[in-house]
This record gives sequence, structure tokens and C-alpha cells, in this order.
Amino acid sequence: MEDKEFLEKFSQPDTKNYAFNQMVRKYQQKIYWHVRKMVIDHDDANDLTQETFVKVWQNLEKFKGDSQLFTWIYRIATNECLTFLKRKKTKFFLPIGDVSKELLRKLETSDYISGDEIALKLQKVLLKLPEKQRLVFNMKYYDDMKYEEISEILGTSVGALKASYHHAVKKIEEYMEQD
Amino acid sequence: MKKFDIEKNKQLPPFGTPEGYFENFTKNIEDRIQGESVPQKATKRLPFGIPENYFELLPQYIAKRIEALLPKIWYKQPNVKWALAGSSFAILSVFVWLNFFNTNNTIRSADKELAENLKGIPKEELIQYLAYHKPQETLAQAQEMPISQDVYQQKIDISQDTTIPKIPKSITTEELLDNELDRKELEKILEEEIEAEDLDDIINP
Repeated sequence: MEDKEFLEKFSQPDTKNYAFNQMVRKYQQKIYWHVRKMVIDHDDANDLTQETFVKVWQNLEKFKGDSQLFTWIYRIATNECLTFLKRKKTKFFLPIGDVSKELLRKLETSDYISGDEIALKLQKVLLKLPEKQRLVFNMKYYDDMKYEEISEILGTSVGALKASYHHAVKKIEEYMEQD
Repeated sequence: MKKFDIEKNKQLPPFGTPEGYFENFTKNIEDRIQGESVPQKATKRLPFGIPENYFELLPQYIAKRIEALLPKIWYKQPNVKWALAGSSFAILSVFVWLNFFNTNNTIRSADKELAENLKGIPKEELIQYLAYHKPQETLAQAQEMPISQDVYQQKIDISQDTTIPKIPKSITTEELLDNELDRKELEKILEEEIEAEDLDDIINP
């Protein structure tokens, strides 16, 4: 089902639930993995993914179609992630580094973490990056998104995103060499 | 104080650069412009797992969360539903009582009145009345006004009631025999008739 069809069906009371269900099924995996890479823990990712779709439900009627539905949902999910991490900092009065340590601890102790060493090492290195750089890197490297799409989601210029990604790649290579 | 010779020291800057920095400078610029470079020795695999059937169940979890947020319609609440069901039952019960039991009482009192009236009429008369007038009355009533099939059936049933003894209009000897009257009583009647005939002969030869 195309985005236009989703929106049309969502606006009809008879087909609203059906359209929403189809939309969840279409985007749930992309959104979940996007969130999971940012918060590491499955339970947190599950909660934030659900919250993202609840907000989609609450605000979809306001969506004017200026951007793709997919990037709009991604933006909500990204905001949820950043708010979640910010809340952690303010709730426990933690500096940024300590949030990274907390995520690193989860990476080592949480359920549903595989034993793929290279993949695990990359995640540990990524946790050393600033949040927004990590975000850009994840969307570009793992999700194969175009800079124009990332720009739409994060509201940052394509040039700045390219620079951010480039710095991230360099730092990752450096850290990978070190560890 | 020794004077710092700018001209002499400008050839020896106090800063260093990474190895091969200027050799790779152009490539770095190109990479940055394109933004398509990937880190060496990295993998796109993720070290994360998920619970079994997680993505099959996720839409249900989301639906439940949304359901919990939706404004609750007062008449769909469980307590209100039961209250409405209880009230409806009470109203229905009163309606049934008024229309069924009260009607039944009326029928009972009418039956009592009829029984009182019938007490004064000898039983034989009633039996005869039912035996001789029932079919004609039913037919007349049927012609005069429409009677529901049930009522009509009821009347037919009464007329066909085998508990009511049938009295023949005139009794012949054969009928008497057929009706299995006391043979001795019949012989007595016949003897009396014969005797009477004999007496007439005597009186009026």
C-alpha cells in the first residue's frame, strides 16, 4: 500500500484501523532497528517504538504530506530517542560520557545481544561518538539512507551531514585501530 | 633579553600532522564531499537479537496502547453495560407481569364466576346443552365474527371431548342393545309394554 493510499484510508472511519495496522506492519522493523541502535536495550527500543507509533496515530491527521510519510515517522522516532537519552542524563544528573557508559554496560549485559565480535566492537566504538554523529552514521551506514532524506529528518543541511558522517568514519577507523 | 627572530623561525612551525596527511588530503576532501566512505574493518551486521515472533506481536502491543488512550464511551463501560442490562430486565419483567399474570388473574376470576353460575344449572341439562348445541353455536359464531384459529380449535376440541357422555335423541331397542344397557332392564320394559297392551285389549276389546 502506498503512502497516499494509507492516508486516504486512515482519514475514513471505516478503514482507519486497517490502514494504520498496515502502516505499522510496513514500517515497524525499520523504526525498531533505528531506535534499537540508539538505545541498545531491547525493552527500551520496544517501548520507544510503540510510543513512536502512538504519536503517529495521534498526529497523522495533521500530516500534510509535505515530506514522505516514512521520513516523518523517522523524525518522530529520532525525537523519541533523543528525548529518552536526554531524560536519562537529567534524571540521574549524568554527564554525556556516563550515558555512553550506561549504554555500553547494556551492550555487555542486556538480553538479546549476539556474540558477533566485530559487530559488537563497532557498536562499542560508536558509543564513543557524540549522539548526533552516531545518529547520522547509523542512518547513512546501516540504513543506506540518502543525505536528502536524513536532512529532512534531522533538519540539518546535506553539507553538514556529509561532514558529520566523514568525521564519524574517521573516528571509527581510529578507534577500531586502537582497540 | 634575547630577541625572537621571526624570519629565522618561520621555516620551522611548531605543529605536526598525521603521517601521510597531505598525500591523502585530496582523497579526504573527495570523501567528505561525496560522503560515501565506509569505515575499514567494520561490518553492517548488528549484534542485537529480538524475542521470538516479536514483529508479529508488535502491532498488537501498539493497538492496545492506542486503545488505552482512546476516550472511553460511557455506555460501553463494563459497569454501565451491566447496569443497563439489569434495568432492561427489570422493565421487561414488570411488563410481562402486568400483561401476563394480570390477564391470567382476570381469566381465573372469570372462570370462577362462570363456575358459580353453572352451579345452579342441573348437570344433565348442561350435558344435553353441550351435546346438542355446541356445533351449531360454533358455526354461527364463526359466520358472525372472525374467530382466531386457536379459539375455533379450542371449541372443536371441547365438542370432541370423549369424557362427555352422548345422549341419543330416541332410543330404539337395537340402540339400547348397542349401548349395552342392562339386558334384564330391557326385558322388564318389554314385559311391561306387553302387559299394558294386554290390559288395553281387556279394557277395549
